[in-house]
Amino acid sequence: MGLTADKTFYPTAKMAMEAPAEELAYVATLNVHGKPDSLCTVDVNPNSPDYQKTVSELVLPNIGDELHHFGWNACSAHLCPYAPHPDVERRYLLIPGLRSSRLYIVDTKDNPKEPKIIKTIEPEEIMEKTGYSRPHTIHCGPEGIYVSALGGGSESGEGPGGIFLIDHLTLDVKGQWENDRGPQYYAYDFWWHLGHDRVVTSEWATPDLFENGLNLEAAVGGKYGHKLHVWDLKTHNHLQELDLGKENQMVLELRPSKNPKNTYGFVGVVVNTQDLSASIWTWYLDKGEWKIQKTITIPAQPAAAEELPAPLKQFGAAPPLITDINLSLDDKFLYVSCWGTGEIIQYDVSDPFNPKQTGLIEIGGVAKKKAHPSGAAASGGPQMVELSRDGKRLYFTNSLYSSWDDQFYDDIKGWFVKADIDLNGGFEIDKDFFMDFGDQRTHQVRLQGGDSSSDSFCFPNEEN
Amino acid sequence: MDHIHYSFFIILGFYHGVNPGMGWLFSVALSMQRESTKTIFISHIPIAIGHLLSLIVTILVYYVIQDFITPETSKLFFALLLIGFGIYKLIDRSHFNWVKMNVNNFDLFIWSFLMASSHGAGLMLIPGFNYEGDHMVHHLEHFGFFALGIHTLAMLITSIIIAFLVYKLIGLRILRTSWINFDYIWSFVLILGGLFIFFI
Repeated sequence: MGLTADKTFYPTAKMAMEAPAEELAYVATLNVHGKPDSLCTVDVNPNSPDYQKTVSELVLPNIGDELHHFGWNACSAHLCPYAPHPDVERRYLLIPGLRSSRLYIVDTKDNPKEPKIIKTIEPEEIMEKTGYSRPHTIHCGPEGIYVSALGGGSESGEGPGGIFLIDHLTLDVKGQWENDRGPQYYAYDFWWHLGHDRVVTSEWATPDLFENGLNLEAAVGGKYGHKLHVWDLKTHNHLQELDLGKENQMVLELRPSKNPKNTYGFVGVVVNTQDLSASIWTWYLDKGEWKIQKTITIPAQPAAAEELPAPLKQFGAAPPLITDINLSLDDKFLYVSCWGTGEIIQYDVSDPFNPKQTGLIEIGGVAKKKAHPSGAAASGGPQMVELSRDGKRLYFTNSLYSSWDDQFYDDIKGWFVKADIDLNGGFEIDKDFFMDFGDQRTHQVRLQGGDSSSDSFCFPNEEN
Repeated sequence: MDHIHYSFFIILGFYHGVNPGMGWLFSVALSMQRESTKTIFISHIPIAIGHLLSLIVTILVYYVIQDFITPETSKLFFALLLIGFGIYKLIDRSHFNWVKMNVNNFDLFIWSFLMASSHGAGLMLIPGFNYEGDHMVHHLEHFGFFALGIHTLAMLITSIIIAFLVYKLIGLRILRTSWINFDYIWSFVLILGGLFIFFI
């Protein structure tokens, strides 16, 4: 505990855009060759002699964790006025192993360039205390640290999945978050409208449908998640279900407006089973009722069968497969990562119901296999995207989930790439920034001090 | 009730008003969320009532206890209670969290009552009631309610002024530049109050 506020906390999202440029990026890497996963610390300060180098690699003590969406113990939500505690420090990263159900907590304070494990929460403890397994996404927030978990609390991970809480002071597992879950069964992402006490959750699937790879038959049959759920943050009760239609398979990353006054947000759908398109939907509050509408459709791109991986040959097209999205802190630009077609598209979403495409970059892709502008071969496609707080730099990686990687791409080699953004619209890949991770497949990225998907805010943006 | 005695309650009123955990920060957030300057003033009514009620409960308990123990025992008991609570607040950093942003006036009242109670706002005033230099302290109806009244008024005015200035003029940047850990100072004041009871 400090005597003053943690300098990485900002009362409003717009104020957080004034944050200094990040100097370090934490990158989760997956190892499929019988070696443990790692948390790599990358120097992203252009003035440093170690720029674009992995300055440390924290090799985890177990094999087969499959690190997913890790996050901070504390963030700007600690300024929330009902219990302001900005003296709590942003220092621990909580790193969930999706396949192992293990959760690591690392400390970045003593030496930010060399995080150290301070605690490991074993799968048995998570299952016993929460009734969940397969932890996936971490968000710091009111009441502590929230973790989404895709499976129930057994070896097989039969649902329902949900959310559990970790105490932000003791870092102990507290238990299941939900009070009345209503019809909710699948879990994936979750986030909130803090000004309105509402939580939104999305749906991927239960472990039986993802651990061994994409089950194409199940997808065509509409068996993967296709709904959003709205909850009361105070009572932890389910309020409303928003069905996107069962042809819209896998409703993943949620990006609510960062301004707590607003009541809208964006969610990405991986694939439409009728035409292989992907889509972005905007949810919103209309006279007390939550609604959702499709606001972006990204069509599949025709491709010759011989260019396509086995599961796609029969379709003669590359599906965009939206696997991650990111929203700038001023709610202006939405970045949509199309892992299948090898594109990241930038939209101006100032009007959340009429997004306008303002930029596009290409790298990898199942059919195009586009090289990095430096000339380096880029396997896979752009997957996890992370945006700097000032909105000027976009970092991204190329691995989704080991068994799915192998279905769509031959032998993915991990890479870490950066794009530079024009705040008036448009962006391009930095041709001098390509980090080759080889056999280590890169996944989630977190930026030192916070990034555009790490914090939530209780205060609306100030005028001017 | 002499001037020094007055000032004790008024100064602690200022202090409680300055603490962002006692209401002004919540008031600013609600005013921003509702885009209404009026909310600064309206929201302070339940905040002040909740604060006052918490103090009244504490002090009533204090007076009731006086009937059962000797002044010497009381002195020792409350000195240790304040010191103990101050130390406890230094160690225990947990806080209740079930009040969120979407609140009505009743929620705000309950929130303020619980914030004042869980932080020991009433305990902090006990040295003023244990001050033997003023024989008036033995008369709850003449002295106690008046003391709590001027304290809460000072707290209310301070809190409204800060909330208004931050909302209208200064802006939220002050949270980044001027935040100090009020919990530490709060514990320190409680411990100091305990020592005061013990030695004066």
